[in-house]
Amino acid sequence: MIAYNSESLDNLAIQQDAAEALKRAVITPEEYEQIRQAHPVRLYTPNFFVRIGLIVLTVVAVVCGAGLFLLLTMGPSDRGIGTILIFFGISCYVVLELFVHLRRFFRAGVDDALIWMAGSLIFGGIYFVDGNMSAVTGSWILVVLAGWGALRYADRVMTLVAYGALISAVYHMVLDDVAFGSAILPFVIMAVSVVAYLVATPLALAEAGRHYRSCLLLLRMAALVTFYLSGNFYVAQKINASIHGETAIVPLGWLWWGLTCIVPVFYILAGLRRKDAILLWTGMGLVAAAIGTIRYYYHLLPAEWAMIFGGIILIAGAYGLIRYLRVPKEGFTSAAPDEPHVLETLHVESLAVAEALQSVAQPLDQGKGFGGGSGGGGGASGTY
Amino acid sequence: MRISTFKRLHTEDRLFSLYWELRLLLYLGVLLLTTGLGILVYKHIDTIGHQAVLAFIAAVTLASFFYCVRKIPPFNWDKTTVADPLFDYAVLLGCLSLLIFIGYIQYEYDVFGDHYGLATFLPMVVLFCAAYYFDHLGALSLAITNLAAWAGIAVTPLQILRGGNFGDTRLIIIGMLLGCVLLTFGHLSSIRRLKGHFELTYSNFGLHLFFIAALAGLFKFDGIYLIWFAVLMGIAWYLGSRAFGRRSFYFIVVIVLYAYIALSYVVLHSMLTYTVFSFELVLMYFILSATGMALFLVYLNRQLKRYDRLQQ
Repeated sequence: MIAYNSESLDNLAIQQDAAEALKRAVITPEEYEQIRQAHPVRLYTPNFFVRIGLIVLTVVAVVCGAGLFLLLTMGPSDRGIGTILIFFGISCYVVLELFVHLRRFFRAGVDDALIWMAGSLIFGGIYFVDGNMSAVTGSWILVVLAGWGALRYADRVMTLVAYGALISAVYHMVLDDVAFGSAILPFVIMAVSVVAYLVATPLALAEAGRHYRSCLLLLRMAALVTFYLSGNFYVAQKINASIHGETAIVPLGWLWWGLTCIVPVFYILAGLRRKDAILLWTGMGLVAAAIGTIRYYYHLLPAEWAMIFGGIILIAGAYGLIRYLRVPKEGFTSAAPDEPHVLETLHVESLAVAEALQSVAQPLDQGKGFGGGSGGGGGASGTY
Repeated sequence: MRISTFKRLHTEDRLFSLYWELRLLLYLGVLLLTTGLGILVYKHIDTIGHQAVLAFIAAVTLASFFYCVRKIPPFNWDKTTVADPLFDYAVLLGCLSLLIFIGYIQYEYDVFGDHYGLATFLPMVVLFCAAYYFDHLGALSLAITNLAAWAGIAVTPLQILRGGNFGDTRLIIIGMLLGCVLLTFGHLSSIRRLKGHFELTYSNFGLHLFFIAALAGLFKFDGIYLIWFAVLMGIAWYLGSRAFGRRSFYFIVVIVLYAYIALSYVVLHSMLTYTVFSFELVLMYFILSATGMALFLVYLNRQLKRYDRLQQ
C-alpha cells in the first residue's frame, strides 16, 4: 500500500538513529559511515529548506496550470468547472506517482505539494459537480481522499485531515439521522476518539506501523484532543445552544465540568507515569483550554490577579523542579535531552556497533569495534 | 530484525527528560506574571503615580542586569553558556523593561523632546552591549530592531510588508544600506570570530531587509527598473555564491525566491509595456518559470550535497 520502498524506509530510520548517536558522540564517525554504507537509502529527499522552496514553486505551477486549463476550456456551467478540476487533480496524482516511482521522491517538496493539490482539486471538483452535497457525504469523500493520501504516502497533514473529516462525518450523521442525536453526540465522539487512540497507540510501536510512526503519533494526539473537546463544557454548551437556543440549560452540566477539569490532569499524570511525551504535552496544552473554559463562565478573580498568582506559582514550581531534578530522581531529569548523562542509561553504542558489524558483509577487524571496551574512539580512528 | 534492535534504543527503560516542559512552564509563568503586573499598574495608575511605577520598572531592570552580571563568567568572544536556568529570562526581562522604561519616560515626561534619534540610540547601545556581554541572541534581535528604528525604519521586515510602507525613497535607500551593513556585521563576526554564532542573526535580518527594500525600489522606480533589476540580481548572485560556499541551504532558498519575485516582476512589466499582455501568457510564464526554478533548486541541492561529501 505504501508507495515507497520498504527497505529504503527502514534504512532511512536506521541512518537517522545513527546520525543522532553520532551527534551525541556515542559512536565514532567511522562507525557511522559503516552503518551508512551497510544501509543505503534509495530515496530522494532534499534539504528541509529546499523542500519548502519546492513546495512553494510547485503550488505556483499547479495553480497556474489549473487556471490556464480552466481558461482554455472555459465552459458556462459549474459542472463543467468541476469536471475540469477533477481531471486536473487526477493528472496531478499521476504526475505524483511518476515522481515517486521514477525519481524516488520522498518528502521532497514536489510530492508533498502534489499530494495536497491533487486532494484539494479532486475534492473541489466533486463539490462543484454536485452542487448540493450534504455535509455527511462531503466529509466521507474527504475521509476517503485524505485517508488514501495518508496510507499511500504516510503524509502527516493528510492524516490529520482524514481524522478531522471522520469526526465531522460522525458529528453530522449523529445529529441529523439519530433520534436524540444531540444527547448522545458527545459519547459517540468520545467512543470514536477512544477507538482511534487504542488503534494508533500500539500500532505506532508495532513493526507493521513503523513507516507511519509520525502519522500515528499525530493521530494519537488528535484523538486525545477530540476526546477532551467532546467532554468540554464550552463545546457542550455551544452545541446545545446551536440546537436549543443560547439560554437553554445544558443537560448533565456537572459531568462536562468534571471532564473539563479532570481529563487534562489525567493526561498529564498518565504521561508522567508512562513517560509518554505525547500524553504529557497534550495534557499541558489542554490545561490551558480548561482554564480558559472556567474563566469564560466564572470570574473567580480579576484577570490580572489570576495572572499574577498563576505566574508566581508557575515560576516557583518550574524553577523548583528544575533545581530539584538536576540530579535525576525516579527516572526524571531536568537536564537537556542531549546532555551526556541522559544517555548513560541507553546502551546506544553497544547496540549501534553490534548492528553495524552484524550487517556489514566484508570482514572487518573484529577487535576494532569491541576491543576498545568503553570508547571505540581513539583506537578505531587511528587505524583508518 | 534490525528494526527491533533500533526500536529498543528508543523504548528501553530510559531517563525521561523534562527539560523543555519545565522551561516552557517557566516561560509561561514569566509571561503571565509580567502581563498581570502590567494590567494591574495600568488599572491603578491614578493611585500609584507615575514616579512609583517608573521607580519599580527601573528597579526591575537594574535587578535583572545585576543578577546577570553576577552569574555571567568573565567575558570572552566565544559562545558562553550559563548553567543557571533563570539567566536567559533575566537578560530578556532586563532588556524589555529597559525599553519600557525609556518609552514610559518619553511618553509621560517627554524627556527626549523631539530628539527621537537619541531616544532610540541610547537603548540601542545598551542592548548591543547586553547582547555581547551576556551572549544573548534575543537581546541581539532587540538591538538590531532598535538599530533599524534608529536608522529611520518602522521596525521589523514583517511590519514593513504589512504597513505597505513601500513609498518613501529615503526609507528604501536606508533599508538597503542597513541590510548591507548588517550583512557585513555578520560576515565580520564569523571571520573575525567575534561571537561567531551571532552571524546567523545578523545575516538573516540583513538579507530580508535588503531584499525587501530592493524589491520596493524595483516596484517604485518605474523608469529605471532595469538598472535596479541588474543591481539586485548582481547582489543576489554575490550573496548566493557566498551562501553556497558556506553551504547554507536556508539562505540559498531565500535568495532564489527573492530573485524569482524580481524576475517575475520584470517579465510581467515588460509584457505590459510591449502590450503582449494576456492571462494565458502570464499563466504560461508562471508554469514554466516555477518549474524551471524548481529544477534549479534541485540542481543546487545536488551540487551542495556533492560538495558536502567532498568536505567530509
